[in-house]
Amino acid sequence: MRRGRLRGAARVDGVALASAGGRRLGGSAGARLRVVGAALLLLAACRGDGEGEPSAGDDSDGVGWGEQAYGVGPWAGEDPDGEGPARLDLASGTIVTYLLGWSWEGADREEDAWVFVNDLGYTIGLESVYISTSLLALVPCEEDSGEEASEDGELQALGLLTGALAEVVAEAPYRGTGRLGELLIGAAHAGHSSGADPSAVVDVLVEIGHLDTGSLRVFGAGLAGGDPYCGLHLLGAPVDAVAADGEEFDNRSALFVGWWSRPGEGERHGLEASVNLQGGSVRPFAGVGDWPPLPELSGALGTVSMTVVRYPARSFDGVDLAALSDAEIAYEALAGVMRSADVIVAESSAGQ
Amino acid sequence: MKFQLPNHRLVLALAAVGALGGLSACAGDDVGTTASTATDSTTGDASTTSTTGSTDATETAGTGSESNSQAGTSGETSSTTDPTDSGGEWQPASCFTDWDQVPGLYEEAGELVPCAGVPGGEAILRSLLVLDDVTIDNNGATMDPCVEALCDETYAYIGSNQLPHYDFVQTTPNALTENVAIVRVPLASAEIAGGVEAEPVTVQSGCIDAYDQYLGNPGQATNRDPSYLCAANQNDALYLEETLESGVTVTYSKIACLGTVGLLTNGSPVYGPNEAGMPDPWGSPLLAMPDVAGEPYLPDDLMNGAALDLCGGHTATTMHYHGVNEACFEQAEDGTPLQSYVSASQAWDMQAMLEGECAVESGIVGWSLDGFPIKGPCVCMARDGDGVCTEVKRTRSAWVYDGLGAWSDDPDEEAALGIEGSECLEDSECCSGDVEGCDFRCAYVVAEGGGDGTEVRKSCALLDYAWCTHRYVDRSVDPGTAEFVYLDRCNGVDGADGYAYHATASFPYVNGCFRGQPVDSVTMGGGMGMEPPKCMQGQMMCCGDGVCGGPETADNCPEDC
Repeated sequence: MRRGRLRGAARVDGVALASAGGRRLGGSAGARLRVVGAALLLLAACRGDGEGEPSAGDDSDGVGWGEQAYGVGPWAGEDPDGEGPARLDLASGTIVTYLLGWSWEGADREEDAWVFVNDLGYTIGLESVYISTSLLALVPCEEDSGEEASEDGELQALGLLTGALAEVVAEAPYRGTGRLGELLIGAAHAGHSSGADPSAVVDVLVEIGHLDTGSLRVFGAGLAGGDPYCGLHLLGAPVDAVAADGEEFDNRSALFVGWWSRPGEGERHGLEASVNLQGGSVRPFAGVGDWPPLPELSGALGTVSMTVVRYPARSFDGVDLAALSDAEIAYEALAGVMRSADVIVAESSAGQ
Repeated sequence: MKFQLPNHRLVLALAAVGALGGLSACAGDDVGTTASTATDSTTGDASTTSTTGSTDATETAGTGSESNSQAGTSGETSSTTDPTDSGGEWQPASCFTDWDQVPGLYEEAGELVPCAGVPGGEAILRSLLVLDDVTIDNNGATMDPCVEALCDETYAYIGSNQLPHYDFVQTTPNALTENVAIVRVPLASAEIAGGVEAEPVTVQSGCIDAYDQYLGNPGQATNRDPSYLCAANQNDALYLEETLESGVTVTYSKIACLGTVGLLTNGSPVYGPNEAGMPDPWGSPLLAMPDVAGEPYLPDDLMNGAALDLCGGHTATTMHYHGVNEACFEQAEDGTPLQSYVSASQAWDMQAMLEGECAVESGIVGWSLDGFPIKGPCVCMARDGDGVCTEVKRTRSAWVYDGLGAWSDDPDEEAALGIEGSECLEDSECCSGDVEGCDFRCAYVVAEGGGDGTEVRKSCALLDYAWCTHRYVDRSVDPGTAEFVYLDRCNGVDGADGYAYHATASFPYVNGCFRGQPVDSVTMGGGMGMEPPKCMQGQMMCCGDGVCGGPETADNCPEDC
């Protein structure tokens, strides 16, 4: 994969990127799009394409994105050592299309398996990888001050957080402790109780990772809700579905088939690990990329794509295969797939 | 080279720093490329644990003999033992570093000492998970859960960072963050003082409003929990009173509608049975959970982000639990978690949790704010002279699913809520047409009927208004059967070791109320036997001015102003 320079933020007219502190990166500060009408048309087109179908794993239903066309860069070359959540300001109603891709970076193709060594020294050969993806949703940024006091309007309305006390909470430097902590615990129904973000997309998709080497698949499209976003929530949940190759994925969320060897040993141990549990992660935005050259995405100006790239060869880091049950291996690897994913943002511009 | 932002848990702090310093958003180096290095170190062997342990008479909370081993060695504490000499022996946790906060938080706190030598403290101490060497993964970042207790003569002070003891399962978009807290639990539960102002348990008139609201606009919640069986604000009465069929008049303290009712043994708070007004108005998140581990979720339940992990918890501002999968809290002999999340979660089987046979008694999974223990669903009802449990029963909630329609005299009620309570096998049977957007789930509930007075069955249950859709049935003269024992209104029962709450897989899941006088949370500032001020959860009487939650002024708080 080409790791190119940061695409100039000025190019990304509708994607105003900012640090958590509010400093915008690039010349498009504050720019917001008003493309709802056109975007809705694209939404319909995207959602009608291939939903629920497993990836065929070739370019027939996706376009190669890796080495040729899809540049990735950090948010801001001007401050590569900065830390903090990259913030994405999207106008309310902006179409956000989610794409899923795989990268076998770090693995070599040997016979029928992708082979790599994890950080504990295990050699792992993966012949088959199946992963369910059930939900993708943008995650609004958490406010940096007084979030608990302000984000749950219900409690404000109920009078549980009022006046001076609310200010105390907002300003408390040691917010979680003792009585103040109890107050915050008591107020802790913000967030997930406020309903789904409009950017959320739920689907049942079983991907065949071992065959997928560079194609992209549209998962679905949602709408930006108007809040600044700081990440993408990925969730794989157990599903009852059949993959394109006939693998029955009954009530499972991940399946890994292949072999592994202990560090320094050549003996191969068979691996057929599956799990029936949810695995999820919230990923920060990793960088800005080119607009994915998928025909179905040739649409309205100002829509945004989120490409989620998974790295199976990184997903086994930390997994002590000899010490875990098959289900635990699968669970850890599923979690690894989620938490090692990159989320690459792109925004369409005229002519795309 | 990989470009990722590191360490999600630093979001808040970094955001604040960024706000001050114009911090750039990106880390352009290799940080974040390492995946988890942390399994929860609890994958554990399958070793079973002893179930001995007689009950110390001074342990009013009654740990009893616990199947999860914490009472298996309930004798002497080893707080003076060399902490480096683990060897599988239980050692008290020593991970908490913020004890110096106690005097500022609890002015009347006495000298804090190891709970081992304090009457009533031993049970709390030994029940807590020992997490000193446990690390968990949080989106690739390693975190160190911590829970520890110290005691004065009156309270156990439980310090924790309120993290789960297993790798974070990101079911909601809310980040897992540390929430350092010191919550105290009375060493001896106190009865609720006589003469307090209490409402009758028939106070649920607001449920009629909820019913009308649902028929008029089901997507719009009432502006508070309508049942008045939990306390929603400072104007609510804090107590309930009822005269049971047995002739006994009982006073309960309400739990807060939104907030902590106790702490689990991993130091995380347990909440009441309902969420807030959205997305399912004042509904129970448990109804939207799968029947068994591995069952696919409905899209709405994923979308709403209200799903719990299979230990019963999820994140909002902090990690908290609405229900308890007992298997997640089982302990090895050294006090560490016995099972990994993967293995423990396989015990998530709603039917089995509701009516499976109990082979061994449950251990303590937490402590209620009134000082009574919270145990798993299997209770020891009798012991022999050696302390061996001779009668184990499953507990059953005495709250039955009755439906919101029970509050109606509307002849049109059938149209909107007629499906309520119908037996079912699949969610689709409870929803006309598409399940998407449907307010019902085919869920396991306890319902009236059957030869035993109640039965566990799959019924079409409304996701909304958990307190109004369930009705408590007085079982004071009908304690249950040979297989199960009914719990009281608060979801507790007097077992062989005294009173305890029990985590059940049906409403109210943990506490439905407080049988004893809670401290600090619902009522704050009141001493034992005193009429406590009517401060709600989290509210303080500012500098003793008698006003809950302020505002502080120069008149009432001169020292602060």
